[in-house]
Amino acid sequence: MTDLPPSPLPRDPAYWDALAERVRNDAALPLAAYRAPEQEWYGWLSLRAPWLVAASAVAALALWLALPARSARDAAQWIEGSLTPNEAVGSLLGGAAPPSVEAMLAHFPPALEREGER
Amino acid sequence: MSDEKEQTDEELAGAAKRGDLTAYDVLVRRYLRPAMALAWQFTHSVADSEDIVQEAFHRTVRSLASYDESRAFSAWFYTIVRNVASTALTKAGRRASLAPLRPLDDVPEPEAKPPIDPDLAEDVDQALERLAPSQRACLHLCDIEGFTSVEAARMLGIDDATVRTHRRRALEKLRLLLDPEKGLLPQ
Repeated sequence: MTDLPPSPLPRDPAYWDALAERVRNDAALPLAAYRAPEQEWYGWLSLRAPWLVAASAVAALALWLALPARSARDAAQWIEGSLTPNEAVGSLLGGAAPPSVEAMLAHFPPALEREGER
Repeated sequence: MSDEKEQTDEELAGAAKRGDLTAYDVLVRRYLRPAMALAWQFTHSVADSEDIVQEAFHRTVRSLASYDESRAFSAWFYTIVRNVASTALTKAGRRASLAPLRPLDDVPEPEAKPPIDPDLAEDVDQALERLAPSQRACLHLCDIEGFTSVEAARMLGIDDATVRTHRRRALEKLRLLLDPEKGLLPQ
């Protein structure tokens, strides 16, 4: 059919060679990545099951984000527990309510009385 | 390189999937011109078609890991080309369909064909623009680019019979639009 317009695409073989070269160069790096990681389990997984690798990465990230929060909470509880007095006097003074006079007298006998005894 | 000719597209894609650059190069050379012809149906610009084809090959190589070698490489690849072209047209604010043929005033004359009468060429261009996009694409791929109806069907993602129907209707419409006395088209 000689009556229709000619192809709008270039006819020069050099044009196609140059375009093929550009496309090939663009692919060199990704293809090398396909080749190299075949021996490595991570590369193999990333090529065969990228969803699994992505899911693992997300899970690891979530764990990493969650761990510091839990550590801080544990640390706060540990500090609070460590600073709370657990002997008789400490418990008396560290309670939520003020200690009664009787309770204080039981632990702290009046100094005058003791001096008088001398 | 007789082995290259004997290797199917699927075998080459499988080898490329394992990092074989030579196999990928053969695929590129097989599919570069068809991909450009297909992209041109959307853009009607050689430069824009180059961008689409480069991006399509880029996506292809990045997606090779998910390519199923039991499926036809051509269908897979042409789907990528069409998707890239549609996305590019959408981004450019154009309707993502086969655009009308543009005037061919910047296209060099074919070496093996006699020069076309400028008046006649203008008539043909105008007639082509009045065809339905799918008819125009089938006619263009088969009768201007020289692909078979089977190849055009793969490129466009439609049945071979549909391509032949579109092409036949396109020729019938062109005959009506152009002066039949000039004998422009085959009867």
